[in-house]
Order: sequence, then C-alpha cells, then structure tokens
Amino acid sequence: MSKLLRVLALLFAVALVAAACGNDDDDGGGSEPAPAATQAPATADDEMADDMADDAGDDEMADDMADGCAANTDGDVRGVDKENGVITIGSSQPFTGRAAVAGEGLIAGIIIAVEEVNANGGIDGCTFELVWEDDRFEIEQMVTNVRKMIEQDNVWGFVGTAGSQAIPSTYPDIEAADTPLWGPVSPADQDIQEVYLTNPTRTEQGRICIDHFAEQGATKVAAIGQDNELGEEAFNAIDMQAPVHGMEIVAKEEVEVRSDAVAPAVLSVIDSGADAVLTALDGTQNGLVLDQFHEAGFNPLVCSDQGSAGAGGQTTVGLANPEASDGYLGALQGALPDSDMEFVQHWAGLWEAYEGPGSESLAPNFSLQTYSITRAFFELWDRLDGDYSYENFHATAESMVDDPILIPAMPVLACGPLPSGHSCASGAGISEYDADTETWTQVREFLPPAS
Amino acid sequence: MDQLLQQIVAGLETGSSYALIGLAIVVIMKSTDVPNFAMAEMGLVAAFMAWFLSADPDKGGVGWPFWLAIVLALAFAAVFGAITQFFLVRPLTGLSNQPLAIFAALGLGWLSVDFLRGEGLPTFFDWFPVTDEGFPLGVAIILAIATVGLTYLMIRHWVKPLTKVDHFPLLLLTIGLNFALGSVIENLWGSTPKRFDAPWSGETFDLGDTRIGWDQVVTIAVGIAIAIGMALFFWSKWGVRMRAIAEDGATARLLGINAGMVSLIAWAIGTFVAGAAMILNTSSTVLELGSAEGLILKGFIAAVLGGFTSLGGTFAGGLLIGVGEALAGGQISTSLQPTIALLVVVVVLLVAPGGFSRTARTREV
Repeated sequence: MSKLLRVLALLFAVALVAAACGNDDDDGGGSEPAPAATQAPATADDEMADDMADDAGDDEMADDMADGCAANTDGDVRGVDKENGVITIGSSQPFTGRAAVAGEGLIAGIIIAVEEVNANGGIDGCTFELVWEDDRFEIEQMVTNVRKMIEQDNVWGFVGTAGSQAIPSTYPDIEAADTPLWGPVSPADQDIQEVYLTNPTRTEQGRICIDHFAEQGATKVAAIGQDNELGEEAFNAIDMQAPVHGMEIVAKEEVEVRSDAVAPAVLSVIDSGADAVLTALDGTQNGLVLDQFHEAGFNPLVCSDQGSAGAGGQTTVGLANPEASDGYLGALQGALPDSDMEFVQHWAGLWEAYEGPGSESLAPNFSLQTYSITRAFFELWDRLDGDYSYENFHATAESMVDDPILIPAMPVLACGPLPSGHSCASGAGISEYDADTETWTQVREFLPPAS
Repeated sequence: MDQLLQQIVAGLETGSSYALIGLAIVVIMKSTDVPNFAMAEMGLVAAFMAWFLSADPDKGGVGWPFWLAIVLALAFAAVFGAITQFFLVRPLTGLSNQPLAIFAALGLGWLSVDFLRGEGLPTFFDWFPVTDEGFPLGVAIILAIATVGLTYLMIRHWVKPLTKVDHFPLLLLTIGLNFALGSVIENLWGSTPKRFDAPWSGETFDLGDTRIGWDQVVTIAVGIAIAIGMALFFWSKWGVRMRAIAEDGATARLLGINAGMVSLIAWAIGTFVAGAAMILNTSSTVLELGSAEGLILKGFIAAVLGGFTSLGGTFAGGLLIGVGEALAGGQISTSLQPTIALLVVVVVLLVAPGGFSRTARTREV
C-alpha cells in the first residue's frame, strides 16, 4: 500500500511539473512559427504593396492560386509544399541574450513582411510559413538552430539571419543542404553559392565612415575592434581607406569579445592623438568607449557600422551619457525609421499594428532593416515564375546585376555570379546622433566608398 | 607619465572587482570547501536588485534613493547567500535535507495553486470534467496542500543527505546555480543592458595632467575597505571558527564548532562581498546579463594566486591581474592583453606554487 501511494504521488508530481513546463505561452520563447496569414493594415500605400494586393484577388482566386503553387517546379524541393501551397522559410535570431535588443527587432521585421505577403494572397499561389529559432547570439546555438530547421522543419532557405560572429559556423550545413541564405550576413563573400549578402559589408561601412572623417577634416585615424572577425573588418577598412585620403593611421586597438574592460584600448587611442576613431564593437562596448572618451575630455569623431552603432535606435547611445553620445556617427545600411519616405511610412504603420514576438523591441530600426530585406526576397521570389528549384533561384538572383531590385529603404541590390557577385549591395549612408533631441539624422547620402 | 598613471588607475579599478570576487570565493572555500562558480552571478542578482530599487519608474525601477537601494540590495545579498546555503548547500554537506524538503514543498504548492486554478490538469487528465475551467479555489487549495505534503514526504524519504561529504555534487550545484540565476535575471529584468548610475558616475578630477574618474577612486577605495573588513572579521569569534574549519574541519567539529552556522555565515558574507563587487563594477560600466562572465574567471585566478586561503594574497592577486592587463594593453598591445596578463599569473605560480599564500593547501582532486 505504501509503495502504491508513493507511485501515485510521484505520478501526480511529475504530471504537475510536466504541465507547468509545457505551458509556456510567453512570446519570449525560442521558437515560434509566424502565423501563416494575418490581417494586414488597410492601406498599403506604396507601389510594391499595391502589386501584391493586386495579385491577391478574392478568396476564390486565392484558392485557385494555391492549386498552382510551384507550378513550374519539377519534382520535390525542400520546403515547397505544392499540395497546400506553402513555402517554409527559416531564420535564426538572437531573441534573448546579449544581442536581444537587436534580435527582437530583427525577427519582428521578418514576421511583419511574411504576414503582409500572406495577407495579400501570397506569391504565385504560394503563402509562406516562417520558422524561427532563438540563438541567443551564441555560435553553438545558431549551428544547432540551422541544422534543426534544415533537417526537421525542411526550410527552403534562410531569410534575414544576422550575427556576423556566428554565421560562418553554419556555412558547412547550409552548403551541404543547398539552402540559400539571404540576409545582412558578414563577413561578406566567401565564394559560397548559397550565401547572398543583402547589405554593405562592415568593411565597406567602415570605409565610408573614413570618407566622412576625411570630409570633416580629420587627418589622424584610429580603430578599436573586437578581437574577432568584426574587428578584423574595421582594421581592413582603415588599411584600405586611410591611404585614399592621405590620412595617418595612429592606432589599432583590440578589445576582448563580451568584455567591459575597454580602458586599455581607450587610453591607447587617446595617447595616439587621433582625431577620428572607427569602432567595431558591440553596443555596450561602444557606449563605454564614448563615456570614457568624454570623461577624459577627448572628443574625436567616432563612427561605427550600423549594427554596432544601433543607428536609428537607442541600443548604443542609450548606454552612454548624453554628452558623450552627442555627435556619434553610425553608418547606415538602410533608411532611418523616422524617415518620411513612403516605404518607411508604410512599414511604420505595420510596425505600430504589430503585436507578435519582438513588438516590444526598443530598436525598431532593426525591424525596418529585416522588413526591407524580406521584401526584397519576396520581390526576387516573384521573379522565379513558379520554378522554386535552387538552380533557378541562383540563376535568377545572379541576373540581378542586369536588373537590380530597388527597395527604397536600402541600397540597390544587384547580385551577380561568383566570385564576389553575392555581395549584392554597395554603398552606405552616415547618420549622426543628437543627444538633445534623442534623434538620428542622416548626414551623408548612400554613396560607395571613395577610391 | 600621465598615460602610465591612468593605466595603473584603470587597472586598479578593474583589479579591485576581480579581487573582491576572489575574496568572496575564498571565504566560501574556507567554510564549505567548494569553489563557487556562481559567485559573480549571485553578486549580479544583488546588482540588479540595486538597479531595480534605484532606477526611475519609467525605466522599470522603483525610484528609491540610491543609498537606500544599495543598503537594501547588499542586505538582500547576504540573506540570499544564507538562504542558498540553508536550502541547497546544506543537504549536500551531510546535514539534514529538511530545509530543502520544506522549501521545495512550499514552492511547488504555491505554484500549483495558480496552476490548478487557471489551467486545470495536464491533457492526459482530459477525462476529468472540471479541468477545462480549472478547479474552484477551495479544491485547488486542498490539492495544493496535498502537493506540499507529498513533495515533503518524497524528499524526506528519497533524497537522503550525503553520509560522506563529496565536493563533486557541490561543484555541480554551483555550476547549475550559475545558469539558473542567469535565467532568473533575464526573466525578471530582461536582457537589455542598463545604465546603473551612481552619484559619482561620470564625475572626474584632474591629478596633475591626468584625469581620474571618481568611479575609479570609489571602486578602489571600497575594495580596499572591504578587504580590510574581511581581514578583521577573521579575527572575530566566528572568523576564528571559520579558520578552524578551514584548517581541519573534522577536529573543529569535534571541538563543538557549529559547522552549519559557520558555513551559513560564510555564504552570507561571500554573497555580500560579491554583490558589492558587482554593484561597483556595473555602476562604472553597464549592467547586463553578461556582466558576471568575465569577473568570475578573473576572480578565480585571483583566488588561485592567494592559494585559496590567503585574503591578502587574493586581493593582491586581483589587483595584479587588473594592473597587468591594463599595462600590457597600454604599453605593449591590446591584442596581447589577456595573454600577457595570464602569462604573468603562470610565471608567479611557477615561482611560488602557493601563490601569495604562505600556507597553500594541498587537497585531493
């Protein structure tokens, strides 16, 4: 009897624990497919959205289109469900952890774009299902996520996946499975057929920062970078671009990844007498560098790539003293979220109405970025004419060099064949932070680096 | 010259945080004989608590005065350390598992009331008619009480206290605690980095040609003060008992020293010191989930330099690492900074295997 009671007690306790564990409906969870279709806001006031809406038609027409999903695709292709008219795409984002502020915005932008295209009837009879996973900005987790989405979720490819430190680790799996990756990946082009870079590289953004320094009269330039690929790109940028303007490189300093000990690098740069500093750090480290420069009474021009500057948001400047962050420069891969551009206003309406994962993000600028990237992906998808084989995708994508995709909020996308053709975007802008108004303003147009 | 002075001051500032974490590790090592891998994370909980109490309500805080928040957060740290020892460490050191049983039973019972009220039973109990709507409050309370009782009995019957003290389960406990606390912090306060400004944050003064931050001065001064305070504590009644247990636990127990109480006090002090270290560190940098990661490693290196016994050696070791890093980065190369600092430690240990301690301990591994 005593034994029976123990077994019953154990079963009851296990049941309680199991139910409690499996009952998490918080949207902060790691994995959550986006709704296959949701209601989009009433007005889609730009040309692309109108095209999508025109394609959609009424319900009956949508049913007919579903019958024709992937009509020109021979055989089975991973992630293409002809029967139900659904294409499965994936994304891995740092939804929690150190880069969560960016990750929340990044995933929100993709979901918004997927919901919008589905609400407008999809493309050529297909709607899209997004599967995404939280990688916490950790390499091992991102690799695990990519493998899981390839092997279990059968995604056709990856869209908008970000995280320069981790992405190269996923390339072997991506190559082995032939799954394309379309996003702001960096380092840029490693001559991998599957990988398409949709934004200017960090090196290119750094070069454009240095062009701006030169225009402002700087003559001595320094760089502070993390001791990884991120920093390497900044050092490449300074090596390539300082000689173009006859600038003297006075310091190249490194900071450990995920370390708050930036003081040695800061002191060395101050000692070097630089009048302009390019940084390639995370947002926290950038905030500390700005603070320590200010405390030391040292006021050079400081510029970072868009990801680490958080241009358009508060991820970096919100961590520094207002006086220290005033005048901070951030490269721009795309338009600022408060731009009066029609495309941006359209996104702003969607963002305001959005209530899904990442809707509480403090960095809507990242949402605009991935929204633009995903819209570009759907524009390319529309060009496939129902043949969703990887061969046709690569052929069509690589023909963009002759027929670029124009998304108003980002540089022109003109992918071409390898080598180097998969770095599809060229040119970046520069924005400047005003601490008094807590706003970013674009101070330099989208231009390629000077040569 | 002014750059050299700035580098030394910056090194002393970071080294002070390393040293305090090292001291916290040593205090717990002396009483419980386990390297606490959760030490910095436990301190980080206190730092988040201080931020929460002092931050403006529009930033997610309570908005209380800074100094009140610091006092309460440090008091919380001490209580938190004691609670951790009482409920989690105690059963793994050969003492009664009753506190663990009570803690787990009440916790599960508390959780189960909400669960039974709101969500009913798991899906495989679908045949039970009321589960869709949850149970009425009275039934939920009765079931929760039953849960409390059953959990208590199960732990008391099946989770036996270790009859032989083994370091390995304790080690695993601290590693697990480290991860668990990170998750708790993220769930309570999110993963967005936060500014945690002290009254002296951003304030500077000039010393000759060198500009020094008041946060640097405060961190170094408080670090020294805490180290002196701890040294004095070890001459007090409970400090002497702690030293006795560290020297020879079995004999100390035979002499009537309450090992459980000594361990509890050590965990409280250790967490208090770790909390102070994390508050100082994050108020001069940024408060975020990863703030403890770098400090725990350097704290352990400081403790190694003190032979895991010497408070002075540990404190000096922490300062040495901090200054070594700063000078290596400033005078040689920032790309070699971590390597050179750790190389110095290796050299010190090669010359003096016991670190800066005159009485290094040998132990079975």
